[in-house]
Amino acid sequence: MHNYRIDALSKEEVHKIDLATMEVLEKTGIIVENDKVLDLLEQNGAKINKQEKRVRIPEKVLKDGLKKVPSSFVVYSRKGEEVTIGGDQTVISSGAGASWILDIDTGEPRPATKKDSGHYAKVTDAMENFSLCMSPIIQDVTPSLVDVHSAQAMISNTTKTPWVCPGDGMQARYIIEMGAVLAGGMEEFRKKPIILGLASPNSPLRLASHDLDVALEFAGNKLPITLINCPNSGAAAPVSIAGTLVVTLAECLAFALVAQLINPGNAIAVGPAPTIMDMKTAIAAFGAPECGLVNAGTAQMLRYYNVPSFGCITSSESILIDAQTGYEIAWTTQLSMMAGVNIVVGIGLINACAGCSLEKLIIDDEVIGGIKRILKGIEVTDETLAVDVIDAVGPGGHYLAQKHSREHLRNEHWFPKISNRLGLQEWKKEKLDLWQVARREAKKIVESANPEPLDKDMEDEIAAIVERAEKEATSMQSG
Amino acid sequence: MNIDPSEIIDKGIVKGLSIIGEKFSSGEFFLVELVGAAEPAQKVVKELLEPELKKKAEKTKSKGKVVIGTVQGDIHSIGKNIVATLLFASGFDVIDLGEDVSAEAFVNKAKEEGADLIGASALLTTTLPGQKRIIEALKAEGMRDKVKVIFGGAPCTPEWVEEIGGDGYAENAMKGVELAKKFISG
Repeated sequence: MHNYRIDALSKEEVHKIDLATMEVLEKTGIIVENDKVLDLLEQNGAKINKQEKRVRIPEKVLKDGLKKVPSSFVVYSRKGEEVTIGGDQTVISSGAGASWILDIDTGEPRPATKKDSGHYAKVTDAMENFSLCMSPIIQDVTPSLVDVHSAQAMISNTTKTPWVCPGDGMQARYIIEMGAVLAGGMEEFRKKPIILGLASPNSPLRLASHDLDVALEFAGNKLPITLINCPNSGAAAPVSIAGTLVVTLAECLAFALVAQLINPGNAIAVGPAPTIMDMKTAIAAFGAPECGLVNAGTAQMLRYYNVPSFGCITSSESILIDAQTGYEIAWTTQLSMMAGVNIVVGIGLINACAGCSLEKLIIDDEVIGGIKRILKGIEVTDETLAVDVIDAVGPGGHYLAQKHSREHLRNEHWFPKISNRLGLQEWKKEKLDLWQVARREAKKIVESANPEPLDKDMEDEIAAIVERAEKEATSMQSG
Repeated sequence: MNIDPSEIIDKGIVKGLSIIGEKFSSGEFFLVELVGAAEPAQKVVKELLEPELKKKAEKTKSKGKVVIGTVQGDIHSIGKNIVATLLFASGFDVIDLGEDVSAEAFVNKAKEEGADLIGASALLTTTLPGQKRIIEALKAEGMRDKVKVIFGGAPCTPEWVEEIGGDGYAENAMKGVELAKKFISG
């Protein structure tokens, strides 16, 4: 079967979840912390309680809005390569949110720096399966300008599309300016989005003011905007998976409507960073098997609504790169990709997205490569059934010298890059485990020359934008 | 065309196979290309060119003569076939005794051909003692110092090879060729 896909929910279950989500949005409603957006919602038929900033959205209002959402859209790399988001495509992004990194020399966790963000982008750039790039939360810059600085670090170190998460409208404005520099003007930036923006609500059922500011900057400029929500099952969402799906969808769809009211037809993608509250430690667990289910269910529901989806689903709770890291990535990522999620994000992250690792970027690329092979499925044709070849080789022969083997090998078999396939004696020469192999690869990339350095003029213009942001941040502090 | 068979081998086949070998080492080619090139080449040499050379009473130039097979009781021959093909591709004269070969047959053939090397594989723990018997048979014939012996196969280990007094352990086909080159050119 080609494009091996699964549906987590039956048709009847999809219908039930749709009804429940519509009921929550209409009856319970959602908090929207922005007067301009509240007005837009009211003008379009939603019921507003201005004092509570609470919006109750009738099904018709929501579904009319969803009709305007493009089912797919294209963002661009700095080299002009197209990355299609939506439809039946799945693209991969390195993940954001980590405040510490496993030091590549010592293996110890330490605060992430702007230099690390550059390295993270450089390794993301070198990975075959990744299209989008995110950054750790860097700790050595002006705290109110973390996202401006990390945007600069990403832009300088990868040609892949930076996916930025500005913490407020001001940072969003500076980053949009950077995009205009890269694209060669604002109009070109609109035509060929070279940076993708992200906002996040505060689960449950609250679109926070700073995130709506970010959405207004991007959608207001007719630029694609994405929304991630964090339905923490058991704490910020019901403990049941189905209930978590309802809260997730209510938030995602309300945001989708808001983006369409700001700019009808604006490109969007929405999705969860699903977690479960670990009831012993109070940690939000990203690598739990339930997270894979929430993501698979959301992807299917969003496909039903014709809205491009994503999911932050490749983190692990483990601190180090170990077996737990491996099985948690595999549980959630394979399930989500089989469910047809449009963007997989969370690559490179560990310890519930609090930490990141360059080595894990390399390992995740390997995991994704293997999953992609699984998704390709089993091709059944006369040629692949190979009856003539089986007859020619006959009993007791071998297939290594057959033309059929040479012709089909590269399409049928996947070639791992870092997985051990050495026998004991060969392995004994270096005795490396996967973490060490990945570290060696990561170091090679970090130490090599930047394959596509940014044009010097653009680099200067981006640096000037950062400088202006610094001045504004300083004046705001002193003012 | 009337081209000298030894020229076909030296300037055509050997050269071609060495290019394939380099591409295999660099990772561009895989086993299917390597064996896919070496197997037909071996057939051409054995079936067409060697008979011609014999008519002219010329000898095939080779790095050395290897007698190869799977040990008595063992019919798992794919690994052995790959090694034989790769040894040929590396310029050895390979005499393949096939599968289920007794220790005596290995030794007699080596003696008859004046072989430099014996390669024997066993895939089962139950057939592994067949490797030991080859060493014993060589000793009985007074040939142990005249021929190097390489062993391989899944249950075979470097410790086992050392215990039975073999010369080398080949973990995989490439390692077998590497050892053969080391023993024979040295």
